[in-house]
Amino acid sequence: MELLIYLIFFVLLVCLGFFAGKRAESKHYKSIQERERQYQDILLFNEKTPPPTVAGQAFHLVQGSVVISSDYFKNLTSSFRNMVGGSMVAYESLLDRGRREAILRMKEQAHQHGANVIVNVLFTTASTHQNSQAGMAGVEVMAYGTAFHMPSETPTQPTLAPQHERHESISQVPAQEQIPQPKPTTNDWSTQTNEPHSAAPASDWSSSPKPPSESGGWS
Amino acid sequence: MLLSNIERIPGYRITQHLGLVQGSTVRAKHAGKDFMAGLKNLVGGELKAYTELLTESRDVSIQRMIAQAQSMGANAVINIRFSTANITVGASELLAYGTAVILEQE
Repeated sequence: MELLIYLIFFVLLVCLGFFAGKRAESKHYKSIQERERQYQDILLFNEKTPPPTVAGQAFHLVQGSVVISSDYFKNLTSSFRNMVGGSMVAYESLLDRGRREAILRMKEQAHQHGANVIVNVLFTTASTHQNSQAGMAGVEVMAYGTAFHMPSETPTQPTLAPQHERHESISQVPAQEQIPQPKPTTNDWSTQTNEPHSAAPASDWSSSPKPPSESGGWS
Repeated sequence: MLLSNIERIPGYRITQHLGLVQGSTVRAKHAGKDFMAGLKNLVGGELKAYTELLTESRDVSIQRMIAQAQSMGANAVINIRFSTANITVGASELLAYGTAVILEQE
């Protein structure tokens, strides 16, 4: 009888771990992806020497840390996996989540200081709590670095944004000369990328009606 | 106090090296929160109580490091590193160390 109660309790815990853990994980990943998009423009480097363009700028030590734990179901499957060896996928995703969360918190801090570059990003990982019976109880992941504000006019920025802009500007110019209608859609497109750039074609465009009238005057 | 984890900061000159400074804390959460974290461990996810604990104690160790640097007359600590070690269940030591220097803007 007692054994049965234990068994039911055990199955209940496993189910709870499986469903609640899965839901929590997908929710967490969703929020991570969302915030990663939000802080896309803060660049991370793990080299020690910052770009020379930041010379004389204020700098701040920024850090982000999180203690994260896996659920009961994953602990159980991982303990089986531990017997046969191989990659423990459950813990891999756990640490991935933790590390990305730590990076995001660090970026948040950098954002508060108004910085857009973090150099010498270092990670430390430590298990906070070794629980003998239930595998891994909690692991702390920490990321830290030095945040600078890099002046925006830099020739080399290894992000996707310049590429998009280039494509945009190539495809935009002929389209705008022919038909004025696509302007609102291109504006939508460029609102999130770069404001000065979106202003440049607009001024070109507004000035372009003038030359024909002038040339008309000359002829 | 300027803090950084890099050695050479562009635009600043190190006028004097004052040596290694460090600060550490050993902290544990009370049993109630330990218990709550144990329950949270069933469903997984972030253990907020521990995150808070470690963040607080790391801040304390940074403050101790800064106090040591100030007593040496430094205005910056560079090349800062952190390390964490768990001493017993639920208690960890957080160490922050770096080099105390006098920095001057060029």
